[in-house]
Amino acid sequence: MPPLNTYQLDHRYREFWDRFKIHCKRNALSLHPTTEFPFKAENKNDHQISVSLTMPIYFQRWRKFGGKVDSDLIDIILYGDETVDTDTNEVILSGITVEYYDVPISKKAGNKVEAKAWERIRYDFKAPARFAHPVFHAQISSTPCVPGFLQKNSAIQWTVGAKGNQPRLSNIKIPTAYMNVISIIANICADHSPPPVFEKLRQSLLKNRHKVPVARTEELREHPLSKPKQCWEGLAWYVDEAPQMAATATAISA
Amino acid sequence: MNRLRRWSDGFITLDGTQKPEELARSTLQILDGFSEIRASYAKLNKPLPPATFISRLLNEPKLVDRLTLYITGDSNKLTDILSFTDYKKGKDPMAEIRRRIPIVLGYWLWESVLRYPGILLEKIAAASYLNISESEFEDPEVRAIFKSTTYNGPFAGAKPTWYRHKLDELISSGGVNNGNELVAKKLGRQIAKCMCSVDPKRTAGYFCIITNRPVSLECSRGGVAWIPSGADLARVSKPAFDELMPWLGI
Repeated sequence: MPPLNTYQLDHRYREFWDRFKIHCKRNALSLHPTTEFPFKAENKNDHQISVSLTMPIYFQRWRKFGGKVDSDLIDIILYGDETVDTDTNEVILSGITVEYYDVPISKKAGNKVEAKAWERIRYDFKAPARFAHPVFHAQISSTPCVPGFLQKNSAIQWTVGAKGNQPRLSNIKIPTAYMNVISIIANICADHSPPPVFEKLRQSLLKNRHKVPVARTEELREHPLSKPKQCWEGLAWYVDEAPQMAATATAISA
Repeated sequence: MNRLRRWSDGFITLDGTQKPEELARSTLQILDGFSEIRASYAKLNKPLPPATFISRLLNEPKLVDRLTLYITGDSNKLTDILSFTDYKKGKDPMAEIRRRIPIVLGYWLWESVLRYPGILLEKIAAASYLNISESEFEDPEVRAIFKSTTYNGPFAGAKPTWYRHKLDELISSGGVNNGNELVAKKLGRQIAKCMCSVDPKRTAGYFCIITNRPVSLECSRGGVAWIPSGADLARVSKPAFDELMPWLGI
């Protein structure tokens, strides 16, 4: 496969981003940035391109519990970067953070409110894998992100309160699926949007996922599970809706 | 004093400083644009969504998602279609609606897709995106390099416009990092960069839709409610933003 360049990578992420934005618009889900393209592909060196989020993706006032009609609301931000090795067009490094916030509604227009951080999860991957590090893992911490970085997305009109949740043991590395940007977005939508909305998105993401590069996993290459390789992506860990729904329907009728 | 009406919806504004024969040519090109859309729409066996129809008309099916982002949420266009509907007895309201659709598609293409850079770039937006100074970009030798990327759909010719994705493909296949490097490589000379109109120490890259000038990402704001969500290169420069903020729907 010929090496990808920054323009080609940019286009691949753009196609995925456009589809996701359309999906959110059609389902009245508030997603920021609204006009800017948040990804930027830049040459790191002759063999590597980094694709980073220049501003956080902001899921504004989504359901805290996706399946609950009268759910409380939650604000989620996502940022980070991936590095693609252009010799093989595979991702060799990725670090993507998701933060969950409780943002109170301001009573006075223009007043900045203080948000409380629920969770902060960082999904990591590095090739070659390191000893005692699961190839794909997540680390949870309670440290909120620097407010200055948050403000890069102009839709974020709040500051992070000093009072976070309980301190977390952030060196625990929880083995996970391969959580690239697409998989993390699928994860957020699965947990925080109505189930039929998620199902439509999942179908659309599955059709488009081959466009963005996937992780190199030398250690896992010969592993039976790694064929097809995309099974490592977290997105693939969600099953089809139909059998589950059918099972539920049978259980109810019985 | 005459208003330029550059921003008025439902008006096509031409550059009044052109020579009479140029103005006449532009007027005809716009008329041709509407006729082309009407003729193509008449050939359809069943109605198509606006973005699908325009992407097929332009022969660029890959642009459908980006075009969709230009129309989603733009309810003005529906008002344009419905406001001319005659509900009197004996009249078929859908017949008038069907007749209006190609006209509205034409205005949408002109007022939204061609106005806000994201898919198509006019010369200042193109110079900024390519990182080539506006004066260098006027050079026919420079323009010739980008000839294959010229927009040739409806209203082409009324103002020079380029396809952004074709510019990307051209730069990408040239093995260079941006338009400036491509021209420098082809012409074998240094090419002046396109600098930001707010901070001249920065290169631009984007286009301020209020001042009509090249602008950098750092010195401008996006996310303004009325910019179509597919127009990621359309920005408002920070000084203009600060001054006009109460009017910008923030």
